Amino acid sequence: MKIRTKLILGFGIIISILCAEIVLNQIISDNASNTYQKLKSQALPALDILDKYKSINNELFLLTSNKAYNNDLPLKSQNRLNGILDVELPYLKSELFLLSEMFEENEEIVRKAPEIIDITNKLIALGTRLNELLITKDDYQDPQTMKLAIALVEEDITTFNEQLNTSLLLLKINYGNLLESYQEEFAQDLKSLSNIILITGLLGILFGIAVAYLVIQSITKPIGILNSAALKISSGDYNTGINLRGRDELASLGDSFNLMTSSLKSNFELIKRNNIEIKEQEERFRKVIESSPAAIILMDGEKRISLLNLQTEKLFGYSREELIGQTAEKLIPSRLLKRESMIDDFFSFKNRIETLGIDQNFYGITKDHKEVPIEIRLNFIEINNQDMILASIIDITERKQQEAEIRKYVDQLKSKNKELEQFSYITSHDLQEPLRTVLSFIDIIQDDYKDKLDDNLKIYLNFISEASARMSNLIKSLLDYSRIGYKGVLGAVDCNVLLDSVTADLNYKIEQSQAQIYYQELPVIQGYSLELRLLFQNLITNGIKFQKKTELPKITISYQDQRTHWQFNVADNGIGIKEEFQNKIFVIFQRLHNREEYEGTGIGLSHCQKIIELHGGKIWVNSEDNVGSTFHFTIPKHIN
Amino acid sequence: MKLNKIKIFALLLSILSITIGCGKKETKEINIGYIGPLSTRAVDLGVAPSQAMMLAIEEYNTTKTETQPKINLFIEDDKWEQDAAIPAYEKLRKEHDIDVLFISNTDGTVAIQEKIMEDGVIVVNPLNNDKLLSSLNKNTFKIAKSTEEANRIVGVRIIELDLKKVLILHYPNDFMTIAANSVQEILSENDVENKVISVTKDQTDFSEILESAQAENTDAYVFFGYKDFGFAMKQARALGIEANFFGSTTLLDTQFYENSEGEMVGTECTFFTPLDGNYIIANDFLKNFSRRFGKEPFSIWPPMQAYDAMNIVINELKEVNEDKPESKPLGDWLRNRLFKVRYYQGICGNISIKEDGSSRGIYFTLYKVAEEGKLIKIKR
Repeated sequence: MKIRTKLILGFGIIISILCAEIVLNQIISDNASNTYQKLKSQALPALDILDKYKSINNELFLLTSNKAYNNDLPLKSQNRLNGILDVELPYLKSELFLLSEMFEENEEIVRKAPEIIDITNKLIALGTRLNELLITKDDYQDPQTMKLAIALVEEDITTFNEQLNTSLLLLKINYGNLLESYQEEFAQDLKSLSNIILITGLLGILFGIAVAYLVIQSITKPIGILNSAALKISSGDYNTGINLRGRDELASLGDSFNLMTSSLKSNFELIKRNNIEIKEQEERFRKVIESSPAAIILMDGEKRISLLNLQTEKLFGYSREELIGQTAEKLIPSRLLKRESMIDDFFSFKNRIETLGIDQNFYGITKDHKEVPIEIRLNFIEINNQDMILASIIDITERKQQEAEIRKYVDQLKSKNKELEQFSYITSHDLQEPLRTVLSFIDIIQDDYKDKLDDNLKIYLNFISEASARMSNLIKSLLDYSRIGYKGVLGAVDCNVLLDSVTADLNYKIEQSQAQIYYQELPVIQGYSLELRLLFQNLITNGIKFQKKTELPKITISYQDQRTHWQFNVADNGIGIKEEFQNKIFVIFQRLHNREEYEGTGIGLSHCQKIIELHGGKIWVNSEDNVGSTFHFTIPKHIN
Repeated sequence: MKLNKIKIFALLLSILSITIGCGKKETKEINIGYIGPLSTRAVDLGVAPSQAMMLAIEEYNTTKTETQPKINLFIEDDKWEQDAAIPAYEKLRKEHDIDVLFISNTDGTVAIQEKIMEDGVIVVNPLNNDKLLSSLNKNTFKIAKSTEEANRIVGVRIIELDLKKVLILHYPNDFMTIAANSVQEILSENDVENKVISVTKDQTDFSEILESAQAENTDAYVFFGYKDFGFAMKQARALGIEANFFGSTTLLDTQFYENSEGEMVGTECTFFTPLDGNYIIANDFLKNFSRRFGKEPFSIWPPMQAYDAMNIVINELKEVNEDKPESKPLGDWLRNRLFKVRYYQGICGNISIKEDGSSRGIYFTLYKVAEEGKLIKIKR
């Protein structure tokens, strides 16, 4: 049986006992109440009236006797006698009458009341008669009157007084007995009530104890088993199983317990496996950290070191124990620490990786007080709801040395380049002179000896003249190339004005080719005005020049503001550039078409590239064969 | 649907309000009038009784329950004149719509009989209770000592003292006439020579009557009246009359004493003190009276009787909302209730009311004036 059923059954029986007790109590209480009501409304008032009646009757007898025998009655006593005759006896009469009406017809008081009232009336009449007989002193001295008065008292009043007393006494005995029987009945009711309470109470208690014992037994024993099993499990013995017999809740709990034990066992095994895995992962992680070529330090928000690797020990010369718990400032030279803003900035970045050391000449300090150039990457991470800083530190002593060497080579290269530029400038400048001489003499020969020259010679001279002119152009182009940025002045360049000027200069070509040039509102940028002009001119000229025969040229110039630089785009609908040639177009004197097809020296885009490099930007092309090309170039917003 | 619900709700509300509205109408206040001598003559029969009634009403109003009606008392002065009774009554009716009237003067009680029957007002005389009053209409109650009995005692006393020739002077009103007649009756029954003379209302010179009586060797002088008989006493002693003086219940009037210039001392009279009633509660009454009005009444019995009379009426009126059928006039209901008073333990004694509206249970005894305002009980 289930514990719930046992409890419901137990309490049900106890409640039934209580209900039975309540019903019995109610019945007996009603009975007692009725008895009490009878006591209160019948027996006690009857006895009360009878007592008063008797008392007044006796007082009347005494007063009348005194009046008759003592020759005179004090006025106060006389007034009392009058009061009895006028008020008290009539009142008692009416009370007795009213009371008798409350009783059943067969009751003694109902039968006796008329008789008592009759005697009372007679006594009142006799008393009044006595009062009338004995008024003055003379009355008392009149033997005849006194004889009558004494006779009245001795014979009549005494007789009726005794009769009344007897009737009252009989009634009093009767109602005394009635009172006693009511009291006994009442007491019996109370006793019965008490017995019922006692018996039902005892029954309830005994039954309650029995139910409690059975329930406790059915609970404590399995709980004991569960408890010892739980203790075993708590000590790690997951093989403990229990067997609780029965079909109650605790047996069900036992089954659940076994299930729980089994589940616990598998969970603990899983946890064990996970722990091993975690330990392995930790080990791997530790090894990764330890074997990292960079020094790794984990700090809290207060820059207090909580973890470091072997490389850190090697880099700074401190042992692990010496650094754990210390602030990272211990590893920074004091001269840098004095630059508080820098250090604070250094640690104030959050949620992003910040690299320090590159181009910042940041240094660490070793245990031997030796400064080491370092590069630090700070990674702000959150571990267990705590902001932590993971610092990855690389000793860049070697890199610094390499950078110095590279810088040296670059400087050398720059110097050589300058020499080369100087050389090409001088060369091209100096080459122009003999070429101009050659061309002058060819012109003279052709003008002065044209009649003397045979046709072949004329053709040869033409070839020489054309080649020389081409050579002159090449030299001029080379000279222009070398002059780029030569005496340029850096300043603000309004690209709108610049392009207006370029399109004005190219007006003839544009009209001839019916080209359409589009450009939006362009920015004012910092740059070399002349070079930029050449740049746009070259790109627009190229767009017009390398045009499909079937379409009119359409060139669109646009730009994007890219925070650190401006990006310009010059797009055309020309013949396009095959992908395999796209990387050759910026090479000097590189041509993709023969001169007959498209004229030019093939240095224009080299000029463009040099101009862009002069500004520190980049130039590239996106092109599709027979569709069009877009030249992109960038100009930094700040040019050093 | 919503409209129907509202209609049902309104209907229920109406039924509820009608039910409440149709509930028994409670009597919230009852006005009682008192007509008595507050000035001119016999003020000891008017002022202190009105205060005693006021005290009874105050005691009731402060202790009454919420369902019991409040009682108000309105007082009018009749100067102890019969003619003033009707105007005073009409004034009380008109201005205060009184349902119950207390009136001290027997002549006045007689005078308003017709009016009270017309108006259904219950009248209570708290001072006098004689056969004449008992013969009046059913709305008239007399909650007081029996006039005849009280004064008869004086006759018995005269006989007891073996006095043989008695002059009875009385004021010309019903009470004093009845008092004189009751004494005369017993004296005559016992062959005591007596003479009853009714004086005029404002008579102050009694020399002629007294001289005549003196000449006839009158050995007992009975003065049944008010303050003016003080002059008679003074004049009697001045004439050398040394015979016993007897008086009625009205001797304790300061003006009476002053008029007698002390000659009142030794006069025997019928009177009532707490000793003659229910002493403990009577004494409590006197203490409460003194606390409320600053001093005890000079003449004790009038306020004591008035206090009992008012309390008997209050004792019934307080049940009005519990007992009175709504259709029944208050006067009818109260009359029936008063007729059923069989036993009321008052300060004057245990009182019952008879079928004729008179009360029983208040009995006067004999006292003698010892000094101004002080009476001593006569031990026989």
